[in-house]
Amino acid sequence: MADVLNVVKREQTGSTASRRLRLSGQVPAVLYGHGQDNQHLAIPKADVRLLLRHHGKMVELKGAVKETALVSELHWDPLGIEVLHMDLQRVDLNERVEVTVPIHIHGEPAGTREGGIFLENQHQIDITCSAGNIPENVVMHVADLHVGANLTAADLELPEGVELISPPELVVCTVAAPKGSQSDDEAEANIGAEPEVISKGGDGDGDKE
Amino acid sequence: MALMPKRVKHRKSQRGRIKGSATRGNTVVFGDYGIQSLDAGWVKATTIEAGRIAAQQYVRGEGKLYIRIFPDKSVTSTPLETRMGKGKGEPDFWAAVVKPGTIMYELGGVTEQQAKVCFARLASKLPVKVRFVERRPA
Repeated sequence: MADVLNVVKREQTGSTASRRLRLSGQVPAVLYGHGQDNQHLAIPKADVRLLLRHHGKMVELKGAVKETALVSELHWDPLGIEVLHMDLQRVDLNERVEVTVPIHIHGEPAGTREGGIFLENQHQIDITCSAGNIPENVVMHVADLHVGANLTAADLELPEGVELISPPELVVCTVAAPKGSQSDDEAEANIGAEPEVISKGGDGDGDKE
Repeated sequence: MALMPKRVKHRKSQRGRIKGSATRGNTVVFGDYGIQSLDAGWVKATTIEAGRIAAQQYVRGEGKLYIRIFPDKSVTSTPLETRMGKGKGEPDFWAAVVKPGTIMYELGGVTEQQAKVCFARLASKLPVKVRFVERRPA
């Protein structure tokens, strides 16, 4: 169930060493938790890619460290292409953890057949569960959702042993009535208009023309 | 309606310089798919509107389009055949400052194929190089 990551310890830390590590096809990571010392690790990029493809949360570390860990945070580059750094948290498989899992929409809403637009307001939800039983996703059945209606976090089908952290009244999805086509002439009417200038201490326009 | 701020502190702004990549607004948040800028530049309010129309004509009645950029920078220009000097020109148009990585538009409630076709139409209106992105899994 848990993905396996082959890790090696890294001696050098800091931005220069991390950049060199990334160039050599590895991703820097840190392992922490349970009151033990932090450990600086390096993980092969291929393993990280595989983990991302599986949307895995729990990982089994092999190599320099033999532990079970939870992927606590991923640091991406600004374009969202490469993972720059991974945070791994030591966990016991029986201990309860707080995780964010994706919401899986099941079925076709009745409202879409009535002409409505199905909208997902929340794509993921915060739950608490045992580290060994983190669900891949949480299912939401939307077949009975009509136009104008919505489903909340309380309507999610939670597996056994999973508790919701997010507020139950949080709207997860809705079917909105389709909007009529907007008039493009409004733009023409607005050309030449200027925004109001916030003046210093006065009511009128404060800046000089 | 042409996009512009309702209230501003100053009518005119300095041109500035676009440095670095976007560190905010660089992930798909509202929809399922997005269009991400790979260049830095200014996108005019009229261009944003043109992109919106191009996309909405394609997804009309199906998906929901989200515009993630807003033109909050006024750009001034000096009229033609005007002698140099006499101060800064008058505001000409409003523009959004876009950095590499900025998610410019998002689309939800459509299939990936539909989103790709829609964003291809939209991309042809934009003055920056863009790429198609999906929402990152939790």
